Amino acid sequence: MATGVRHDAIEDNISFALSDCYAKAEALARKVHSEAKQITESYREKQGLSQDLNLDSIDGVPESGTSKWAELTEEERLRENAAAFAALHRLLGTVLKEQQDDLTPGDYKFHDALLSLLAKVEALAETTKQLLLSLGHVLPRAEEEREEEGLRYFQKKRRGYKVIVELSGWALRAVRDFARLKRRNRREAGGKREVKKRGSRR
Amino acid sequence: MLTFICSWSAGSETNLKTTYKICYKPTHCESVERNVSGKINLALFGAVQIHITAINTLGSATATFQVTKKDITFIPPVPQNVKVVPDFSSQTLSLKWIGGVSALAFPTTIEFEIQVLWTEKMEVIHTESYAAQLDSQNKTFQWSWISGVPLNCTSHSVRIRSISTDILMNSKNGSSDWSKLQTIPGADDSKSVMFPEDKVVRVGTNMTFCCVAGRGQRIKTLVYGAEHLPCSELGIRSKAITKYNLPPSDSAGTNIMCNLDPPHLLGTVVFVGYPPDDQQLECETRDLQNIVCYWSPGRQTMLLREHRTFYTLTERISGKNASCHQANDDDADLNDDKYKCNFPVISGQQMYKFLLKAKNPLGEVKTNYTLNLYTRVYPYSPSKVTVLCTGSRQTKLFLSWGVSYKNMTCQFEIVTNNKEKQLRNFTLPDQEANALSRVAVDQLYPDTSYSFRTRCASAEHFWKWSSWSESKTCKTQEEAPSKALDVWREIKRTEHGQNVLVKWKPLPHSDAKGTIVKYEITWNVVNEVGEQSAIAPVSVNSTELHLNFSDYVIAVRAVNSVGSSPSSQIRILGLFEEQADEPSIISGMPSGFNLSWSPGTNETCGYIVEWCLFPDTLDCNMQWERVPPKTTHTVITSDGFRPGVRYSISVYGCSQHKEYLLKKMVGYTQELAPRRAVKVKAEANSSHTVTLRWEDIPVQDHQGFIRGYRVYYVPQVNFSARSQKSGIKEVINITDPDVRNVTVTNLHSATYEFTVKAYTAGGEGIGEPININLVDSPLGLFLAILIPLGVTCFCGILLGIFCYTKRNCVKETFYPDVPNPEIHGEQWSVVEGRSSNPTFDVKPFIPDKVWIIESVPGKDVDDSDICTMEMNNGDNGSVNNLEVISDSGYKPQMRPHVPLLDVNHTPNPQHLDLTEQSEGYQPQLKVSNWSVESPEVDEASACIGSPTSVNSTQFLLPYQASEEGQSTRSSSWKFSSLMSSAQKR
Repeated sequence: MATGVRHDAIEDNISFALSDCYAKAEALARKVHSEAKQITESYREKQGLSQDLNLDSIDGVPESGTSKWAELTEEERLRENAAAFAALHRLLGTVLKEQQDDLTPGDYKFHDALLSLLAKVEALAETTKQLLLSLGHVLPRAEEEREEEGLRYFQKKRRGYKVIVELSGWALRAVRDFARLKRRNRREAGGKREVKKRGSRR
Repeated sequence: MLTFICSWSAGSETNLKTTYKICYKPTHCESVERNVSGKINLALFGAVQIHITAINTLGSATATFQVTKKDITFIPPVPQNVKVVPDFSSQTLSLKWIGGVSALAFPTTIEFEIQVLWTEKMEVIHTESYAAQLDSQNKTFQWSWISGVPLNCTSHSVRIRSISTDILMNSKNGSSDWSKLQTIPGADDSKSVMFPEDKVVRVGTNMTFCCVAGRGQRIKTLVYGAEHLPCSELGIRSKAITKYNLPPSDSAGTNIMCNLDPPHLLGTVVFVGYPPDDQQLECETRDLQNIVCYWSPGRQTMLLREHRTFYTLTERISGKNASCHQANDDDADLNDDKYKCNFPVISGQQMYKFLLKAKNPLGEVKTNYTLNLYTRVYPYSPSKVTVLCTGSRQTKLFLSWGVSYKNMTCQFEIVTNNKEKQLRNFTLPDQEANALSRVAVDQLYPDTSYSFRTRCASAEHFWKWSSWSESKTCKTQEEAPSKALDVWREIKRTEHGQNVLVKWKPLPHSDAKGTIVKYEITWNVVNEVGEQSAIAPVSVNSTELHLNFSDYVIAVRAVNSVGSSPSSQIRILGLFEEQADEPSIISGMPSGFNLSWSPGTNETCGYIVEWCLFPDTLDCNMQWERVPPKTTHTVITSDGFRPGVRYSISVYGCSQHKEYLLKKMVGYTQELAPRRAVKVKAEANSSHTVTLRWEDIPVQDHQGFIRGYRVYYVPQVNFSARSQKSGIKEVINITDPDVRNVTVTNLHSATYEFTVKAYTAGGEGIGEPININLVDSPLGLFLAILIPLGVTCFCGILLGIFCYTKRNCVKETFYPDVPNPEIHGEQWSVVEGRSSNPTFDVKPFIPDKVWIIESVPGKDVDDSDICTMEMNNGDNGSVNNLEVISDSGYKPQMRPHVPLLDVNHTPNPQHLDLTEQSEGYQPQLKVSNWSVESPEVDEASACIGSPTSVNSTQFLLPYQASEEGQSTRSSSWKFSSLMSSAQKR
């Protein structure tokens, strides 16, 4: 009996921890989305890019737009998110470096905003990874770092823009994903408790 | 020997095979098979005879030509080994070729014509001539050209030919064939590309950008930033835009973008800026251990990061480089302090030669600077400054530096608490690091706060002042007051003695030499021993003494922490009454008064001018001013002087024994108009004379010296309504200010308003109007009525007499004879039946009585016949009176009085008959003729609005009115009747 109670408590703790993790990930994704959206405009203006810039044919940036997302399982979604945020973190680091090289020293505010976003993306990638581990899923394979040499200025500008745009897109979708997982986790925890209550009454 | 090519025409063509033989020397012939040209080799120095023989089966014919050098064109050879080398980054084509003619005995000038073409369109885009000399040796020639369009944009081809330009060789230029096209292929079609890539160019250059579409793609748009420029086609796949006079780009460069179809975006970035413009290199040392060189960056290059300017500073004597981390650090702020390099002083080296190189992708600039270390010392400000105020007029300063300097010249800036600045120079001997130097500063004022700061420069070779040290403050010590107080008195004598208010002016800080803590007042009777004293606190500037009528000497002293001021004395003469003449009038200025007076006979110690600042108040705020001896004029000014206030000013002479009143003056700084109205009393002496009397205006309301009065008076039409004044305003000007009454004469019987206004130099004051009604006597009134009446009556009588005596003339004039109408009784009788006049719509009624007044058929009527008919209506028994004016002449509205008529009503035949008997003009005979002309006609009133006529009221007026009209007419007839009857008589 005592073992059963302890087991229930552990399950409750795990459920609570998961719920907390989902909430944290959701909040992070929300912040990343909001900041990325703001930076997108500043970046575009600073680089003299037009609003209707064609971002096709820029390789190496995970694209958030896909019609198959609904077909994926939650595990697959988490894994995709984890892989995308890890890749976007790496790419955003490159963008920041390029900005430091190419922009004026007066753009400290913009640099600070990029640095802040970079830290949040890193945290989001790590949180997603932790969620995968907590749920006992396999982590996505770490992508090999590709250092693209000889990119022209314009290509760098476009790629940087795409990284921020896609990051905003991924973060927005991740907000929904984490919110859904959080709700499901609560439902499941509630259901289990209900079943146990009924069982104990009998 | 040279090879010449001879060519000729064949002449008439034959079908036979013709061979030619060309002989140019008697012994040298060559056969030419069916050709019209042949090569000959000869050395051409003079005229040569050439024989050309044409031979066929039928025979031969020979033509002989004589040619000279002039007749022969020199055709240089085609350039050999032509090679083109492209440099895509600099968009340069380099061409190399070999030229030379081994047979040439001497050099000849030729021109190489080079053409560059866009291969795809075979369009010549550039042609250039290259002048050279050819000789017997083969020489390599080189030419390069920078393309405006990037070489990758499309394939470029180059060809070259030689043109002989040597006038010694020939008279006309012979040119060789073009060399084989050398083609530099553009970008291949494997992918879409843009050129040039990431270029850095100068502001103001012209630049062409191209977009080359890959296989299966098409160029849609090509834009420079957000600017759409005209697009030129370089080939099927390649388009270009040219931006002229490039403006500076922003930090991220300017994007040039190419949109393709199917959708794909290409882009390139151009950075537009300036080459370095660094200038004004200067070097100096602050501590004799390091040399700092700094410069002005000049115009901003607009290029950043990897395109920014890099600096190197080299000392050329030692060959060492300076450290320019800060200048080369791209994270450093872009301020002037950024542009500097540090170079450590080399032991034993005094002269330094620096070379600064500033380089960016657009160019390099070099600047030199040479310095002698000890002539360019820019010292630091003292690291430590201490100040010590040791006395009332001097202080000591202690200075030290963290580094050692040789002789220095320094400056103190001394600022008092009144913000007065003073600069003093001093020198300091050689300074060891951190050693304390002492400097004494004197000629200061006691009890004054001073702030001191200092700066120094090299004494031997002045270069620059150091920056100012931090300020240090100290206050000098006090001294006893140096000057006696300025004392005056105000004496009020009573029955029991004299109350003396002793007043003094506080000492200015420069005389107080410290903080005054109290005032000591002492007094004693003249020539008596025994002194009384009192103390006044520093907050007051007066004290009141109650003295008897003895003569007193009063002394006042100011006391500070160190001592007291010299004594200031005044004398009070107990029984002396101050007398002065009548005050004289003075005129002032807005700021005060300019005073002067005659010198006093006993004056030995100057004068005292005394006045009250607020003369209207109880405490008049007495002011005084001392005037130096022998000076008999002064100007007193005060912000407290107000316009319109009468100031009394007294001048006292100062002698050894007393102060005596010399002169009194009154005046205004600015005169204003009197502020109080003159109160007037009026007294009517008769209906034409009034005496006005008024009172004085109180002096405080004068606001100026009264110069006179103006008396205004004006008759009133309507006394109750003041606004309805009429008549001319009269004025009497009284220039004597002492007059207090005036008699106004020649007035009419009316109500008059009188106003008296006083005036000063500042204007006219206000007045209080007073009204007085002037009425004539009853006798006069009667006379005024009766006399005109009597005159009128008399004139009437005279006129009556005159008219009576001249009545015939009057009658002829006003009442001429009128022809008598002949009216017979039958004609006049009213015919039974209805009138044809439709307006005469009299309801059928039967007149029961008709009187004919003064109308007898056939009888002459003088003026007109008037018929009054009394008709009794048989129906209701009422009586209608009808008056008919029967006139054979004009009868415009001859109508009986009828009620308003119904135009549709059937006319009464009786009336028709009546009117038919009338003769002459009858405009309103038919109602239908005029009623419709009236505007706004309705059935009920259709008859109203008939043509205007003297008698139209007959229709328009109601019945009663018509009757009145009749009676009027009747009376007029009676008057005419009277006149006519009188005439008959």
